Amino acid sequence: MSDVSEIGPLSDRKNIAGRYNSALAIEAVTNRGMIDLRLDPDNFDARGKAESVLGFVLPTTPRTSNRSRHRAALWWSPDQWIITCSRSQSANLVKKLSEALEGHHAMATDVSDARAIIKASGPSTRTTIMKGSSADLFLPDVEVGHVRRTQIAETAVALHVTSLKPETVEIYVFRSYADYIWQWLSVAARKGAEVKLFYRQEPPLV
Amino acid sequence: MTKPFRVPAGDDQSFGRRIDRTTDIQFSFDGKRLTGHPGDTLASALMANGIRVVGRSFKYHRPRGILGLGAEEPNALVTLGRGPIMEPNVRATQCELFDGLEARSQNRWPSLNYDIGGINNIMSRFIPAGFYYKTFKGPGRSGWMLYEDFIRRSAGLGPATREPDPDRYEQFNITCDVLVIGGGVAGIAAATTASAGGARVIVADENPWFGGLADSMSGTIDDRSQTDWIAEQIARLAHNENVHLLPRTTVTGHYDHNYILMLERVADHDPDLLEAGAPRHRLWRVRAKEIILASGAIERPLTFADNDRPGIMLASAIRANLERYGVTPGERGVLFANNDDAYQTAFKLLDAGVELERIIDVRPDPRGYQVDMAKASSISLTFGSGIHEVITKNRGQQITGVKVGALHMADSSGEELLPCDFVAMSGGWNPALHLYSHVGGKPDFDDARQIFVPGKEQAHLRVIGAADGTFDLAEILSTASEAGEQAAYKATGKTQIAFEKQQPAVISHYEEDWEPVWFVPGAKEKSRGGKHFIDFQNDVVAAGLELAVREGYRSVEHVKRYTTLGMATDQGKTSNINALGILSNALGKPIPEIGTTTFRPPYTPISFGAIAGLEAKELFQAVRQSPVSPWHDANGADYEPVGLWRRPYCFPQNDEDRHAAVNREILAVRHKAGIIDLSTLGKIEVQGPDAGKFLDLIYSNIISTLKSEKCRYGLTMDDQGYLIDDGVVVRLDDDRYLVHTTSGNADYMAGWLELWLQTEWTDLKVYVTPVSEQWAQFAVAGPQARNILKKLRGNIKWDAENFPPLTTQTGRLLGQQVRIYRISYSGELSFEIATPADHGLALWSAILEAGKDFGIEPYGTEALHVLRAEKGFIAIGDETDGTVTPPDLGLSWAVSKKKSDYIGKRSLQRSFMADHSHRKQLVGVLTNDPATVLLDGTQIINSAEIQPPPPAIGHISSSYWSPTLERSIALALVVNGNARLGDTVYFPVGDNVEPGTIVEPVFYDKEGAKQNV
Repeated sequence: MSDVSEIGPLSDRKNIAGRYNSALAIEAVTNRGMIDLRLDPDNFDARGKAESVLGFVLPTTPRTSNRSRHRAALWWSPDQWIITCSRSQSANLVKKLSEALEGHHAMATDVSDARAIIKASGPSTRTTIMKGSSADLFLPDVEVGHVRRTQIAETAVALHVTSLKPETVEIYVFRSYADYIWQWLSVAARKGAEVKLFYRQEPPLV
Repeated sequence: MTKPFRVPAGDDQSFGRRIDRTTDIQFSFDGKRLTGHPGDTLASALMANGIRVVGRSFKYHRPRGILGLGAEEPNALVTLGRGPIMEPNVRATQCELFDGLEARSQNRWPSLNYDIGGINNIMSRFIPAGFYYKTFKGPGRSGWMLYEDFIRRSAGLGPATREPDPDRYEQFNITCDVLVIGGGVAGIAAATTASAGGARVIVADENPWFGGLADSMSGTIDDRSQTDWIAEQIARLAHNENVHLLPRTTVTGHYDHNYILMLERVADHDPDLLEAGAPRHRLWRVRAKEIILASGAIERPLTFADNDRPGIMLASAIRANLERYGVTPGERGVLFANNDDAYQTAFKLLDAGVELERIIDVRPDPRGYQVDMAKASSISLTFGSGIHEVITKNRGQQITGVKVGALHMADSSGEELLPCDFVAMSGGWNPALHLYSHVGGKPDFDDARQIFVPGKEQAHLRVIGAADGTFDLAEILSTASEAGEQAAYKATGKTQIAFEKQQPAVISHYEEDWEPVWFVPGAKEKSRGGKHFIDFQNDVVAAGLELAVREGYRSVEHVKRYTTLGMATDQGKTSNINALGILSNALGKPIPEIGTTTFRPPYTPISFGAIAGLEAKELFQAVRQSPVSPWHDANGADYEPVGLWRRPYCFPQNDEDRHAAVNREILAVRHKAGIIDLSTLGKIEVQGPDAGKFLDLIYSNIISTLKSEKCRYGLTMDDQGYLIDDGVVVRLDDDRYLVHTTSGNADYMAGWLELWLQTEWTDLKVYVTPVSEQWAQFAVAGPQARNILKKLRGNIKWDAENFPPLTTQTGRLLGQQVRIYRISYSGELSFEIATPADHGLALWSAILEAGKDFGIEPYGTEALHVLRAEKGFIAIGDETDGTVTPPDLGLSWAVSKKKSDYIGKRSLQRSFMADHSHRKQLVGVLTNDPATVLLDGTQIINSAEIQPPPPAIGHISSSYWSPTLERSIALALVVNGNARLGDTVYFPVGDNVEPGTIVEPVFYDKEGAKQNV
């Protein structure tokens, strides 16, 4: 019998890029591992050990992230981060983190399969998300790297703004809701329904 | 037909500024094909075509024409479109004309001109105020039966469509520093200063253009018309990237903390936009730090006899319709007014070449700029007078003249008959305070001017311009500019330095000289024809209000409900103040003592589509997908909703019905093997040096004594001692546990653990990580389970000696990580296998493949429940309802007596909880007739007689057909049930009573021999 194959929550989805009359490019990110890391940020010893495994500093400012070439740490809550890495590395990285944090009160859990990641990009990415989320992505603190845990259409998601020019947002959603959020985005992002916000408008009629 | 109602543009194009006269567009009204111009509203296009009667009134079916200009319109409500896109009750005054628009009048039968319901008008003496109350509360209580058919036919507005709406709607969330509501002179002046320093400003206006009523007002700013001044400001604002201008956007509600709902009509005016993908409406959900309300004012009608006849319009509406669309309501008019401002309508009519028969002013001796202008012109003026009677032909549809006489004399001596075919009326201006009032703002009555103005200032909301009762142009500009500056400063903390303060040169001809008049006596007795309409949309007349007072109603809130005053979709925009004036006279109390009614959202009705937003049709609600869902879909799963999941209830084969499929699946598990998808189960990892201590506090039994790689069934109670959840706890490692929760409580229990950690036991070193979605999980159950699983390549030791009940193994199956728990909810030999979710589908398929020769079958939630009920295992939500304790369910063995503390412990020790004899206890129930399957929730009684109804001593909590035992079985909660084993009890079923016997709650394999192999 052959080895078991991987079936991600959105593995049957065709990427939407200019097709289906979509104003946004929408694709599933399937090759990323995710680790839920918990530790007390004031425990400098533990934090330092985790950081030396990761190769960069854990962000402690809410709604921010930090990254190296292959990994990133997304601020999730005051003592929680989602560490992303290549999918094939997650088990190994959990092991390394757990070993480095031995003796400290800390927890690293492989949650690579728990969430799906949907990457949306295009000029109206932020306003499309704002059709379903009360997060205002036009506030000054929304810079590249911004992380926001919020809801889209009453479904828990996290947003990671990976680029503003062009606008690109990665949407982290629990896998059981991935199908719904994918469908929601496909409808919300259809051409003709774009919202442009705070730009040089053509003067309306007077 | 179009002429003479469409007036020429004039030399300086001053009439019909908004329309393109060079292009004709087609539309229809009641099936009649008509022509209008781009830029027209439906109302102006109907006027241009000489159509006066546009609807029938709500109660009396009187012919009605267009009264107003915009949101205040109570009469001209039409139904647009047909079939699925039919929309009733659209205000023609706010409906932009487009090619192919199809409109129909409402509330008429068989046709607008020959309406049979008009009999209601003749019969109106028998439909007085409070008609509905009197009818339905009357003696015999047969009123509704008697009148229902009549009322349903004759009252009401346009019908809603019964077909699904094909269009999309959506919502949009945004925050801003300053939201300016209304894009007239005041709003634009405020937006200009508010945005000067970079604050984020949104300006919303309900019209397709900005300017408000500026185009109908004569004052100038820096030698330019107000419209030109606004155009300049708008051009500048539009180019500011910190300003967002939203035309066609009505602010419909103001809620706590400056939360605003506003409806943008994105595509109502242009079907091509819908075709191109636009939503019809977009509901903006705005959280504004500061709000500037510049909603303007609404003109007050005058209350004279038959003031609802088609052709009687608000003076401002006539003026604006001439200016914007070049249309006049008739060929010869009279102006009936109590203020200076309305005179502008007279001048506009003259300019347009429309004959003006007379200005009738209620004021005996008016003075002022406009009056002087009128005196100096050829206009004929009558002061101190009022309209006593409106003369009509064609059953009230066509005005031929008015009778005018002394204002305060109701006799006909000295009356003068003036020929005319329309009347412009103006009772002054009412500030539009609706949005100010939504969050509890109480208007003050300005006695001098007899208008309501904003009272106490609301936090973070400023009212400016006409909405604030400020009508003088220079004053509007200076107060609005200041309000904008202040709002931006409050929102951003920054002074708006970039704004150069300039005092524009303003010429305003505003005169604060008006005479409120609440009632103009008519020639006829009030109760015999000659109705003085107050609320046009709900057909409330002055006499009706007085009747309500005579019948003892005193509070305006009661009068309102009794007469339906102000309760129509226009929320009394034109009726409110006049009604208070009438009541004030009738009650002999000044208006402030009567009070005003409460305005509530929405300002104008909004579509249900916008309220639903995108979450309609296939997006109505998320349906959660298990990692195995694709297999379920492909293999004919018959689903049932479980929270947001759809779980397979069973997997029918061929022509099987649900019942047969469930029986087959149960027998497969009992005799061969079955597999069920349990991926929906809640799974939470708990780690830390205090993890054991923490779980000992959460669970009713001891967890910390559990050895590594062992499992234990645990119960969680709330602090009242009631069961909230159950599940198996696994000790993965020294300081790491995995707790299982029921599927429905997965999120709740994760929150429950965090709640106690974060609020009560903050000293405990524990981290809680929900991993429900990380793992796919299946139970493989049945006598052949081990034989099947042994076939899968891996390092798991499946034999009984190495893998006894309530233990766990981690390892690999088919090369992938697995956690396997030897736990059974079916009473059979059972392994629950968890694997990272992405591998779930492949592992599921591999197990089915390996089990083929052993007769494995997938089973659903119903089989799961029957299997557990046969074994007497409880299910949270069936045997528990939030008032059931572990001892009630015979689970005292899982309630620790040793542990010093845990949630619910003290509650169980209270005397009335400790004495268990009066409480309902879990028992089994067998009906005497084995074929009878009782319904869940069936009551249990002690007697075979159901008359008089005996008290219930309990209820059925789970009830099934057991194919294993070939009879019905049930679990029940019965008072002192444990002491009543063997007793006969009864179950009322319809009119019959079924007898049955109380038994122990385990029906199958009491010793547990089948699972311990």
